[in-house]
This record gives sequence, C-alpha cells and structure tokens, in this order.
Amino acid sequence: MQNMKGKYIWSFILICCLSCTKDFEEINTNPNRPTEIDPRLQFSYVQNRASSERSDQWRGNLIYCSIWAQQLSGSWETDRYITANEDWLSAWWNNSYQRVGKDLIDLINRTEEGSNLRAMATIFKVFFFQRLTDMYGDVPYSEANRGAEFLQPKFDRQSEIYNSFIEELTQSVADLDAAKDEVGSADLFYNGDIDQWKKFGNSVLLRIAMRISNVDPDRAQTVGKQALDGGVMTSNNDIAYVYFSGNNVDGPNANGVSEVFQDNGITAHLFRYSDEFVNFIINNDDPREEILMETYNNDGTIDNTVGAGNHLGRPNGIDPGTNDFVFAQPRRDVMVTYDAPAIYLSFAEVSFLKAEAIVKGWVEGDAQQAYEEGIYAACKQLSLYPNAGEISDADIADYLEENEVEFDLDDAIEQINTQKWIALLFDGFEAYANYRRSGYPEITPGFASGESGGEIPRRLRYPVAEKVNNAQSYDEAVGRLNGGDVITARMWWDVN
Amino acid sequence: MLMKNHLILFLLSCFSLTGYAQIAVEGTVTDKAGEPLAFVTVAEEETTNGTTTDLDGRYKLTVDEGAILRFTYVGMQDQLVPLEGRKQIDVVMDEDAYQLDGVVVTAFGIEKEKKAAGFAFSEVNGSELTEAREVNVAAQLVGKVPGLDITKPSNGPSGSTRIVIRGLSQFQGENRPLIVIDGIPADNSNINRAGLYGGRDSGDGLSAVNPDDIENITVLLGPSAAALYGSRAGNGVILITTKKGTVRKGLGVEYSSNFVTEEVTILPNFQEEYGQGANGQKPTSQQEAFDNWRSWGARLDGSMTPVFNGEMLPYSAVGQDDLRDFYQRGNTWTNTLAFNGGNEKMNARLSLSALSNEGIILNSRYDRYNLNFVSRAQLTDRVDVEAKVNYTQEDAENRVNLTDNPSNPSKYFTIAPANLPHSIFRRTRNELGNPIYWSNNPFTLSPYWGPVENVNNDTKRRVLGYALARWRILDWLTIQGRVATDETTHDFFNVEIDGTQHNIPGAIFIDDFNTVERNYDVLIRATRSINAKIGLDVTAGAVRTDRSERISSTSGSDFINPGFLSINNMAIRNPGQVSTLQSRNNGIFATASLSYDNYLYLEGSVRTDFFSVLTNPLDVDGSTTSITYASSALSFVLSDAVELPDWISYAKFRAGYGTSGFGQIDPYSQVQVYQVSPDPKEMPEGNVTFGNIDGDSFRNPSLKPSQTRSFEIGTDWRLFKSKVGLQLTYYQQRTDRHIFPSPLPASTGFSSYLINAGEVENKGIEALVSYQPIQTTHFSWEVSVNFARNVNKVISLNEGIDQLNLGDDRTFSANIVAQKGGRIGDIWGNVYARNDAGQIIHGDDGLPVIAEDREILGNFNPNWYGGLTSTFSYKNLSLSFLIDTKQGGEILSTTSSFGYLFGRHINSVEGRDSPDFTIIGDGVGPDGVTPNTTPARIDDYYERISSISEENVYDASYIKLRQLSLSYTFDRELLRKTKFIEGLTISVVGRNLFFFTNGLDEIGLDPEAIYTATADDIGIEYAALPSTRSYGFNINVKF
Repeated sequence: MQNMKGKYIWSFILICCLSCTKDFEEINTNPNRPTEIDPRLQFSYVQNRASSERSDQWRGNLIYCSIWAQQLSGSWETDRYITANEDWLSAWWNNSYQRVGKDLIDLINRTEEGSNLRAMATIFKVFFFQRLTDMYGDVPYSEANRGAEFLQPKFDRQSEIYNSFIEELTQSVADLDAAKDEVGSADLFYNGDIDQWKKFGNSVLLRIAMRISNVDPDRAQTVGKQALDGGVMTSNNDIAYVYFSGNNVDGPNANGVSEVFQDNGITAHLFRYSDEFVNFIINNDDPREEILMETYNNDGTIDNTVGAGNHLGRPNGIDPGTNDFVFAQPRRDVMVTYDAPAIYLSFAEVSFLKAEAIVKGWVEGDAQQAYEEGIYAACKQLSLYPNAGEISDADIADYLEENEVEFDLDDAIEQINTQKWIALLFDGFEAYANYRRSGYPEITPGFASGESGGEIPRRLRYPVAEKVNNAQSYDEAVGRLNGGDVITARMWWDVN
Repeated sequence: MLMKNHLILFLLSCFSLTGYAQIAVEGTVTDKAGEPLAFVTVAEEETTNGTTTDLDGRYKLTVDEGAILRFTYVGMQDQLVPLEGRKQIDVVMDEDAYQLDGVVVTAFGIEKEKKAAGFAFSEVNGSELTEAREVNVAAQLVGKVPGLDITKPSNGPSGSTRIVIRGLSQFQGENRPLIVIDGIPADNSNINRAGLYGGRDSGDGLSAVNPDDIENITVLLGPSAAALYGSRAGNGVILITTKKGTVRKGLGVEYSSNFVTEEVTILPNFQEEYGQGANGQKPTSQQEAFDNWRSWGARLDGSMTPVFNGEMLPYSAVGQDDLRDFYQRGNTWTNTLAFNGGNEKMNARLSLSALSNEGIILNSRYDRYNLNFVSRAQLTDRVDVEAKVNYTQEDAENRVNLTDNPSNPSKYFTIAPANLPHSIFRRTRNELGNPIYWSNNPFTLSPYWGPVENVNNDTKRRVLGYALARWRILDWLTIQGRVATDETTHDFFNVEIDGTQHNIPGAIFIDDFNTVERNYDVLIRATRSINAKIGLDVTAGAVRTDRSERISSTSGSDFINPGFLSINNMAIRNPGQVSTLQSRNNGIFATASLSYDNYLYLEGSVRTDFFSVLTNPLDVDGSTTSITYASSALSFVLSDAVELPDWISYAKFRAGYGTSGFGQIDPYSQVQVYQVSPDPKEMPEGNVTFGNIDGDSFRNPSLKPSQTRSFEIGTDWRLFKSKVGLQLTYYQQRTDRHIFPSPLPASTGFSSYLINAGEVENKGIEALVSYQPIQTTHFSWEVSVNFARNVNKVISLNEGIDQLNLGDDRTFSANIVAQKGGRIGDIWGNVYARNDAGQIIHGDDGLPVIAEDREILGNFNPNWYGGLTSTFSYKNLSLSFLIDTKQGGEILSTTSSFGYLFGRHINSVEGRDSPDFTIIGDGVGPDGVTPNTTPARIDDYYERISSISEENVYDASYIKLRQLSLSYTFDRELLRKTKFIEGLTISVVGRNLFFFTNGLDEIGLDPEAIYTATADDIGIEYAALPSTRSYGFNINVKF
C-alpha cells in the first residue's frame, strides 16, 4: 500500500519535472559550429589539405614513397626496408579517409548531380584515391566514407577501383559546362576555369591509362587515346598546383613538405637527396642542380667548400649514425620554403605520358618532341618556386644534348621515365608508382635485407587498426595478396 | 492536483502526534577542555523528539518524565543520560576514539547516525591532513582509507592526483569520485595533463583546497550512499566538510606554519660502463660527438675526448651523483591564519593561507593563496542562514614538462651519454646569444634549455561559494534552499623561445579556460516518530546543475625581437579560437529511513536525473534524457538488539543495494557539425575560407545513460571495551550500457563513434582493523590496518569488438587496453617469438623476432593495497607512522625502453666489448630449433629489445614508509598562564621516506611514476621525475 503511494507520488513529481527539460534542446544546440555549410568551402579544404599537412606529407609522401623511389634518402627505418612504425604506416591511409575523403564524399553527396562543382570534386577524388590505392592495393572505395551506411567498408579490388576511376572521370569531364554553376575562387587549382578542369580530368585519365598499360594494354590504349583526344594539359599554365602564401607556417598557408624541412630545425637528420638522384643530375650537367640542392653545415650555414658539380648524394640504406651533413639537401631558400607550391599534376608529366603513349603506338605523334617539351616544362616549372629565377632556354637546349638525356628511340621508355622521376621531386606518390609500373629509373636497392629482403618494396602494409576494426574485409583483401600483407606483394597493375 | 493531495495525506499519515506527561530540561554541553559545543544533537531516546545546542552549548528541551537523553556530536562518543527527575543536565563529551558513534554527513549535508548507515564509509579527520603536508591534499589520503586507491603520478607537486574507489568502472576518462564540499558538488576536472607526446599537469580541483580549512573528509564508498548524488557519483563520493565558526568568548585565532623540504631519493640506474659514440667507438671530433650522442661508444676509459661544444673531457662516467646534483632542494612553506568567533545569533570563521613551493627543477615555482570566509546566523527561532565564500589563486611558473616534451629534463637524462656532466649545459647560448645544441636530435634539448629558456606560466583563480537558508516550519519539518557557485578561470601562457632546436622561430601560446558551475537545490526534511519504537525520516528535494565552459586560445610564432615574450612580438599570429560548452542536469530525489527500536534501520531512496547532453536537438522525441535509480540499505545493530557478552561492545550488520548511472557525455555529441577554418587561406586573388566536418567521432544520434548496479554487505564490531575495532565490507558492482567511443576503421572517415555497450564488473573487499593494546594515563599505543582488494573484469565490449585501445606508449610497442575477459587498463604489448621450449627465436638478421600477436603483460591497478598506521603517545609527546603498500600491479617503463634504444639501459652492456661490435643473441635461429649463430650489431640488437615490451614491464608493487611524525602538544594549563596562548603543538614530520620494497629497484624508478591520473593511458611511465622524500616541521598555535 505504502509502496503504491510512493509510486504515485514519484510519477507525479516526474510529470512535473518533464517541464524542466524543455530548455534542453536549446542548451544542447552547438553554439560553436554550424550544421550546414556551403560545400564549396569543403572543396577548397580538400584541395589544400591533400598537401598542406606536415605529418601526412612527412610520412606518406617522404618517408615511404620518396625514399623507396630513391629521390631522397635518410636515417629512417624505411630506408632499410623496415615498416615497424605503425604511426607512420597509417598516416596516409588515415589522411585519405579521415581528412580528405570524408569531406570529399560529403561534399559530393551534398552537391547536385551533373553540376560543375560535383564534376570537379569527382575528378579530384579520382586523382586523390589513385594515390591511395597505388600505395596499398585493394582499398575501401565504393563503401568508404559513407558514415552509418557502412561502418565496416569492404575493400574493393584495385582493378574495380580503376574501372570506377575511368567511368567517373569520363562522366565528370562530360558534365563540365561553363554554362552551369560557377565554382570560382573556391577552386584552388584553376579559379573554376572549366576548360582547364577538362584538361586536368583528361590528364588524370592519361596517367591512369599509363598505369594499367602492362596489366591491360588494350584498355590502356583505348583510355589513353580517349584522354589525349579529349585534350590534356598544353602548357605550364595548366599545372594543377596549390599555392601557399607561406604566412602562418603551421596551418594551410604552408606547404606540408616544406614544413617538414623547415620546422624541425636545421640540425635534424631528416632527408637528403639520394645519391642516385644527385648522380644523375651531376653526370648530365643538369641546369636544375643549383636550384635544387645545397650542402649545409650542421649550424644551417651553407658549406662553401661544396659547389656545383661536387654535391654528394646520400646512399640509400646506409648506417643511420652516419654524418649526414656532407650530403646535399633541398635548397632551403627555394625548394622547401613555406610558400613553395605543391604540384599535383604537371604539364611536364603529361608531356612524358604523351611521349610514352606515342612510343607505345597509342596515338600518332612526335615522341621526341613530347619528351623534350616535358624536360623544358620541368625546368621552367621551377620558376613557381620562390627565389628560383628562371632557367634559360639555352641551358635547357644544352642539357637536351647531354649523353643520357639526348633522345634515343631505343631507350625512350627509360629516358622518359627517368626524366619524369626528376620532375616528380616531392611527389613521391607518383614517382614511386611510376617506378613500379615502368621499372625506371634504374636504381639499385640501398639495403641488402629488411622486410623486402633487399628488394625495393612494392607496397605499404595495411594499418593494424583496419585489421582490428574491419577484420572481415581486411582478411578478404589480404587473402587476395600474393604472400599476404607484406611490402613485397604487388599491385594488380604491377606485372612488369 | 489529486496527486498533490495524495502527497499531503501521505505525509500527514506518517506523523500522527503522540502525548505524555512532559517536563522541561536544560543544560550546557562542553568538551573536555571546557569549550562549549554548539549544534550537539540532544535527543529523547525512543522518540524523535530532540533539539540541538546553541552557540553557547546550551539547550532546552521538553521531554517525558522518565526520558533518557542522548547527546550526539561528530567526533565525540554518544552519551546517554537518564533524566532521573533533574531539570538541569550539563554534559562533558569525550572524543570518540573510533568514531563509530555519532553522525555521518551524507548527501546534501544530511546527517545520519552512523549506526543507521547501511553502507560503508570512511572518515579522515582534518587534523590528519595538516601535519605532514603534500601540495595536493588528496595525495595525503594514500594508505589511510580502506578502499581509496590513490596514486600521486609523477606530474609535479601541484599536479593532479589519481583517486579510484572500488576499481575502474568506465573505459575512459577520469573515473574519479565526485568531490563534494559542504554539500555542493565541486569541479575536480583536470584540464591539462600529459599525454604520450608531452604536456604538463596543471592540477585538479582538489589541488586548490587548503587542508587547514578541512574539518573532516568522509568517503562514501558504496552505491546506496552515492545514489542521492546521481549520475556524477557512479565512482563514489568524497565529502569534504570545512571548518565553521564556533561560539566562544572573545576572538579565536589559530596560526599554523609548516615548512617542508624535499630532496631527490630514487634516481634512474643507467649503465655507466660505455660512453657516447657509434660502432663501439668514441667520438674523435666535435662533429662526431654531436652526431653520435647515443651511448654506443667505447668502454669508458677516462681518456680526453671531444664533446659537442669542442671541449675535451675525460671519457668517464659522471655517475648518478651528477644527476642528483642537477636537481635542487624543493621547499614548501605554508602559513595559515584563521579567526573565528561570534555570539549566539551569529558566528563566523575567516582563514587566510599562503603556500609557496619551489620545485626540484630550476625555476619551477608554485604559489597558492586561499581565503575562506563562512558565517551563519540564526535569524529567528526557526530560520537560520549560512553563507560561504572561498577564493583561491594558484600561480604556477614552469610547471614540470612531462613525457615527450623536449623541455622535460628527465627526457634528456633518459638518453644522456654517461660521460657528459650536467654542468656543461648550464650555458644555453654562446656570447653572441646563439643557442648551443648538444646533439643532432632536435627533440631532445639539453636539461637546462627547458627550465632556463622556455616559459610556461599559468594562473588559476577560483571562487567557490554558497548561500543557504533553512526554515524549520514545524518542529519536525524543515525546508532548505541553497544556491552555490563554483567558478574558475585558468589562464595559460607558454613560450617556446626562439632558438629552441625543434622550433627555431619560436612560438607563444595563450589559452584561457573559464568554467562556471552553478548548483541550486531545495530540500524538505521531515523527522517524526510514529510510536515509541518506530521513527521515520524523510527527505525530498530537487537539484539543478548548470555548467558552462569557455575556452579561448590564440598563438603566434616567429619572434620579431628575440626573447621579448609578448604575443604582439610575433611575426605570425594565429587568429584566436573561442568555444563555449553548456549543459544542464536536473535531478529530483527522495529518501526515507525507517528505524525500529534504535537497532534496525531501513533506508530507501530514489532519484531521477535529466541530462541536457543526451538531448538530440534534431530529434528531441528520440532522446532518452533521463534515468531513474534507486537504492536501499539495511542496518542492524546486534549489540543494541540483544544482550551480548561483555567483551562485545558493538556489533552491526549492514547490507545495501543500489543503482546509479552515468550520462555525463560532452555537450553537442549527437549532431554532426562543420567547422569553418579560422585561418583563411591567402590566395593570390584574395582569401579563401575552408570548411570541413568537425571531429573524428561519428555522431550517434541517440544515446542513453549507462547504468551501475551494485550490492554490498558489511559488518562493524568493537570488542574488549572498544580496544579492538573491525570493519569488513564485500561489494560487487556491474556497470553496463557504457557510453564509450567504439573504434571504427579509418575507411569510414571516422575513428570512433559513441555507443551504449559493454559491461564491466568490479568486486572486492575492504577491511579495517584497529587495536589499542595500551591505554594508560600517560602512555597509549594505537595501531590500525586497512586493506582493500578489487577484482575488475571486462565482461563485454561492443558486438564484434574484443578489445578497446585506451592509450599508446610512446614507442608504440604496447597499448593500454580493455579486453573482453581482461581488466580495464591491461598492458598489451610486444613479446618475443619463442619456440615451444620457451627459447627466443632469432631471425636471419640475428635479431630477436617479435611475436606476431601481442600479449597482456600486466595492469597498473594493484591486486590489493592497504596501510598500517600506528601512534604512540607518551604524555604530551606523540609519535606516529604510516606504512602503505600496493601489491600486484605492473608498470610499463618507457625510460627502460629508451634505455635500450639509446644504450643507457643497465642491461644493455652484454656483448659490448666484442671487437666487431656484434652480439649473438641467446636462443635459437629462424628454424626455432638450432641455436642462434647469427651475429647482430649491438645497437640493432638492443634497439629490437627496446620494442619488446615484456622487457619493459616491471612489477609496481611496493611497501613504503609514507609518513613519520613526532609531535609535542604543550599543556593547556601551562599555556593558560601566558594568558593569551590557548594551545601549542609542534611537530616534526617526514613523508615518502623510503621504500621497504620497490619492484622497480633495478632501474631506479618509483612504482607510482605514471604520468597521468586518467584511465586512458594508465600504467605508463615515461621520463618520470625522480621520486622525492620530504621532511619538515609544523607549528600550530591557538590564541
């Protein structure tokens, strides 16, 4: 009886109290952050974020790709083919999905189908996710970044991802139309210029075609021809790059790669040019040498005893205790200034792709001309870097006559891809992928053992977090890898 | 309306009036010293008739002719006095040796007779906290209270303290008990602490409390006691009652002065046989000394060898004394002056206190000022009011940099070569003002760089106060209302000076935190006897808590004028960020207790909490914002119920069951939001603003509060004329529907999402035994032992998830996890790959192979812990000590790991003398059968060992002489002759004097040297400060 009364009373008080929660909705509404924003703000964000974050560039781009492509060398475990550091291993993966991918997919989903913004974002998405799949192999793509819909996204086969890339690019390039919505200054590449976006879209398509040229030559030719016929980049004005003001060095106003070199002090053992890279430059009297490199003392001053032609590259894989100050570094006042540009896709690379396409017989044309255009563009594009000055046409002409540089149809594939390797400095992603696809430049592994047993690794291991939190999809993907989740397993397209 | 009538009828039906022949009695209550005691409860036995004494200790009460009066007062033994026809009864009350009688203060300041309490609680008297002091008062509770697991991490004297009651029940976060000061929940958050990448600990709410103001501390261990505080009390409650004004003749003045000096005791043991260098060779040039700072050099031979600055120094070990010499003596002065007094109608207490601490690291200071004023007034017979204001200011200069922060001197010493004396680093810059660097590793500065060059200052100002009014409407019915505020501003100013090796342009960071918590509560209490044997005590009330936080941060980098410490002097300034957080909780509660014949007590309570943070503003109807919990407790005093043998003075059994809940998530957790970049990107054509999805946590639109169900039984005994006391409690509690971030694969775009899932069980026992073997006029000896054991078990996590990562160690070779079937806080790390015979397998490269799967290697939480206190008194002299212990916990040492990595580990010397700088590891080769014959380079070999966590996990068990004190209290009679001094006590004290046993003896670390007080990365040591002992004196004078 008493108990019943108690319950009545409590119910009564509870009813009275329901009114006291009426402000809760207002109290728990976030006063600091909006629930909706213009998707164009996200488009600027993802374009920038893909190159502005120090730790992502440091790890994904430099520690793995640039070192394994032997553009750079340094006292990192990866230089000795060890990939024990989970934090580094997962950095680019996490950046791809949790930073860039998350907003990219969200903005695409919130944008009208067929619109210019959607087309540009989709082209950028393909460009960006190609880097990721080329590092790991099969990765979540179709189900990635879909929030509650897929809490454990499946890993798509790389071949299917490439199919999707080609479809998405074709559709997006077709969708672009100057009469539709204006993206304007939210586009950091081209200020919303539709023609340049079409060229960029086709250039990415050409890169994709070349990547699959060994595994599926017929399709590669069809797609490559489609891209070239559709119109690719035609000059350095078409370079897809992100400008940095260099003001405010920690945020999006500074180049992430430069931050690595600048922020950690001149005394740091970070990265040096690989001896393979320096030797090729020096052996051919490359006019870029002065702009690219300098040897510094441990107090940051320039080592005046080392001049042009005398720079030493750091052999990959050498003992981490070696004194690194004898080796050449990127010039701090030019190549790695906070306001250095981040080049995503260059006309130089497109020219090399075109030259190779001609050599492969995909299209008619003058391979030598495309090759030399590529070298010319690669030299001239250094003017985008502050304090670089401009390399004269005469110097470039001299360079084109150097022994290893002068076009020779028999060695064309090697020459084209070696030149591309130099042009791709600080784009380790593409340099490493193109090396694995083409087999060039001819580089000697720097270390005799490690996880790859003294071979240049063919991929990165998946992050452990994916193994733990997405076990089933992970296991399926690893099952498809030759030898399991190891750095010697190959990409679907890596059949050379 | 109908309901309301029901309520009134219900209340009235409970309190029918009864009548007998009445008589008026009056008198005065004093203590042994003759001081009048105010607010002593004077009750007529077997009724609920009673009153309290006024400020002069006087009382008046109309009672039954044959009545027996019971006098009850906190800290005093109850007195039962039969009336026997008298109209005047004066009583002198005795202090209660065991404090088993009297009252205990529970929720909202409700006092409850101790014997009626059906739950476990422990008390600590304020005087125990003022003798031998620590800067953070919570650190002084170590070993004193059964069931209170306290650790003072290695986070500086003013850092926060880890307090765990009955084990960890939440997967993440602080797992702290609720701190209640004078009935009002107080903010005890720790806004700034170390993580694996560095940081500083800027203390918690308790670090601001002045122990001189504490009357006593009551720890409510169990659920039924905590149920009334609702959701915030899921981890137990610590009630602090502060000193109030007393009625007395003239002004009472109390002054106490305490000086404690602190010195380094335990220092890391590093190998001192091999110096800096590489390949077993010592440096041959300044450049080599700069590059080859790791300790892979030659055997130290005393020869003159170049070091980083070009000097030639003997290539010999500087030894541990050099390290000891780096640390200075720490000193802490505390001075407190308190005034109290008043008349019958009004009294007040004012105290002023200043603490000044100089740390063991150069330029590290901490000052604390407290002002506390409390007053109460009897406005009419039935109305009284009370108000308190407490202001605390903490000024910290250069709080110790912890863990990975390059400015942490201990980080330098973790990797320092054996042959470099610290004095060589005293000069941080050359004549031109250019920085001097010692190695090519920019993330390890010289030990003087941080303390001398970099700056971190913070100031915390806190105002805590309340106003209370109480109206005794009827003799048995009281209503009370209270408004309380707790407001903190905490401002940080941090500088990485230009020239700091890892940030040469330099930077300044300014962060300001403002936290306001307001509590409003109203409660109604009715106390009646239904008949001669049955009494009823009902309290009902409502409480509202409003909390708001504002955080504003700004920073700049690149000094324009070198060394000028102003944000306005920075070439690059980041735009400020301001964010505000708001939340509100509403709660209603009722509690009723029924007593039968003063030996059987039944208590029940119910509370409902409503949380604004669980409201989804986009889906209000889908939100579950409230949780109701209930508790009941039974107390049976056997010794009052039946006649027991003479040697049993007191015997009580108790049992309690209760539920409580936790719904305290961050505000705005349900709805995905975007952030707009504070930092517009400057493009050639003009600024572009960025926007992106805010946060890595996928937003779960609907969350419910978690729920804890717990049960306890216990018994309290006093035997042999109270010479022996015994308390024993067994408890079991299960928390389910946890709110925790369940991990998501990165490919979702998020790292986690908040869910309701998982179940955790804690069960254990707590025991307290006290014994007074000797009690004569001049000599007494008391000893008391407490013991607690808790067993934690993770019963389940989210579906499909067997393990939750709680934290990583800096080498990423181990994590702290909650694993299904394991315990919260398990250390899960790399182990050697071994063959079936247990031999270590080595690879083709001759290095030990790391097993594919990590294993659980330990857990910081002890299997059991306890303390032993003993006090000897002879006449005016008293000697006491406290020994405490924790047994069965483990700690993961990053210092050990880095010791192997850089060559200073005490066990990294084997094989070093080999001519080719190689070692053949003991064990088998890649086939797992044949002995290993492949040599590996010495540095590679030990680098591998550094990442095998089983080599770096140590037993954190210890037995420690925590406290020793000797005090002399001058005779009151003697002092009275001075006419103005009323009391004088002088004591000599020592804290943390030495270890009897220490599981980390080998590497020279303190078993408490973890770096954070939270559950997230509990159990990891990283470049800890050396542990210290302190001693000093204390003078207390009363005028």
